[in-house]
Amino acid sequence: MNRDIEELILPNNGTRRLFIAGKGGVGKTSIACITAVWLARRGYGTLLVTTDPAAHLANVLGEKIGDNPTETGGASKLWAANIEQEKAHQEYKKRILDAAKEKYSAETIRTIEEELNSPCAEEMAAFDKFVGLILETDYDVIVFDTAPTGHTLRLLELPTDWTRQIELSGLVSGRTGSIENVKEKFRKVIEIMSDPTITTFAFVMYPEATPILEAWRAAEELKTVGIHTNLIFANLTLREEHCRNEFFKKRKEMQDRYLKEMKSRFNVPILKMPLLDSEIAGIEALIKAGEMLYGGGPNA
Amino acid sequence: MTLDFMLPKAKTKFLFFSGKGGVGKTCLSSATAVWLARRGYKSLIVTTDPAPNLSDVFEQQIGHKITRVNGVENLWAMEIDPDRATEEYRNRILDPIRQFLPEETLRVMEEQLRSPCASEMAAFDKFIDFMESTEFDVVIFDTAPTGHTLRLLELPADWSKFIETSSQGAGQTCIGPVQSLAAAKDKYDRAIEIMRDKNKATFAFVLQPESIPIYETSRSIEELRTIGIDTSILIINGILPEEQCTDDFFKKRRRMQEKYLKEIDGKFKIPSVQVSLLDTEIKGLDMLSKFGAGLFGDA
Repeated sequence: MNRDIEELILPNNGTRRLFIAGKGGVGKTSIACITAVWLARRGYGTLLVTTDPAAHLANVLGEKIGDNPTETGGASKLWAANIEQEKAHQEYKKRILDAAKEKYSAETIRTIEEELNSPCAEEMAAFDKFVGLILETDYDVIVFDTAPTGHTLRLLELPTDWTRQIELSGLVSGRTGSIENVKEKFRKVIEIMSDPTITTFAFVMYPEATPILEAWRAAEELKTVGIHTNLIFANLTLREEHCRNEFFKKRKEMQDRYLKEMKSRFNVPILKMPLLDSEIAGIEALIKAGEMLYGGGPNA
Repeated sequence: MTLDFMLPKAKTKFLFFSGKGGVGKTCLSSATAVWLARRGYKSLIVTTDPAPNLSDVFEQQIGHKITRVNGVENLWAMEIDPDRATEEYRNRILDPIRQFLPEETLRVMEEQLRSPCASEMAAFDKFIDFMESTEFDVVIFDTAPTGHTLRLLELPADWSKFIETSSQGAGQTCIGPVQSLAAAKDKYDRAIEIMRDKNKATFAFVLQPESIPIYETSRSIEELRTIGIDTSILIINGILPEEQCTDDFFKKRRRMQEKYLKEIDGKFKIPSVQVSLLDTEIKGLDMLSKFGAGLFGDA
């Protein structure tokens, strides 16, 4: 592994946070699991935080993960927590609606309820759950298989009337006490996320036109809150040795063109995760994939 | 394969292509548009993709106006700039109520109107203008609103309520005060009515034969169903051509895809069509025509 990458992945005088961002289905969870297992096997105390549907994660990691950080059986030094986005979303909705029911008419409640069905609210709910973990310092590295969007962070950053906002939205409420604490905590979180010496923001994408453009737009939006993308995982890249016939040779040429475009658009290190002949499932597959991605043996 | 539900029976038919970014919506909707135009139907394709890619696909400048596509009769195209549409939408909602709201509330609302849902809403708002017109036999949209957005539009429009709740801090909406859209409410209601009518609208979902896309597609289809919109067809894209899978590596990948094709079949009970992965990107009328013929037949 070269120095550039090392500086982005390994702890630096304290806990390193690694956010794996990108659209649904591009392979964020796989990349996060591979990275966490690889780090743990190198001796770094690693916490993996995921927001995937439980069944999918259990399939990738080869074991069930609960919503509090728990040591995994598969690899030593690896802890994991799974925030089920859908469950978090339901709880979040309930909390807000219960508070709202005392104040508003049935019709208004219906509107609030529908508004809470949005993907934005779902993202908020998950972020609400893992925001506390960003502040954890008991681990060498914390890997998140998701990341809030620039839009969400800007909403939370607004110097709006927090007493009202929090009362209803419930963001980190009921855990921290006073509003001042909540505000302070959120300020701290943004500060950590925008400090490249302790936080790495990585985007996962395929080497294809639309995925690159979408990731780039999301990265631009994050810049508005001071967060800069500093690593790219190019997923599903074709390896030369598998592209023996014309058809796949041409596909590979196409990918190579888009890899160049990634480089020129983002100008950050790119790690290529090759397309594999089977889905990544279980700890052995994760270890193997990690060696492909980062190189090196288990204790190099 | 016969795709009756794609064909306009009465003026006007609306085709919606749903699916994740990068799954091939623009390409598939363009090929469909060319195919229909070649069969004599006066067709319009409208995209709201952030990449101005209809210009790429048709190899001619398109842009933010209805433009005749060179080289094929009956075909028009238009690219809606999603950022511009979102900004227009944001202003349309906020301008009438700016003066009534405290500065802070206004700022929160402006940010809420920068959400992905607001962008989706703004795109749909543009589409709706076409849904009132009978100029075309078919109008093809390379994206579709979600069930969530449509449900929001169905809610009772009364924005005095909005001001009440937002001033008390309940501004959770991600598309803005639906109540302030009261003026457009009739238009939205008519549009949703059309979308529910299978003779007038067809919803197609594009997906790859993989686990997370299947899960997400199923969620989206269910959500549309909650407001009475049925999905007519699944377009499964990116299938590895069997004859190209000559070594073990791709043979194994192909078997994996087959497993997911079976899963799709069992899970959705919706007609589907499979589209092979190609060794090149689809550009120009010739390729679009061939691709369309492969999809829908030559007749």
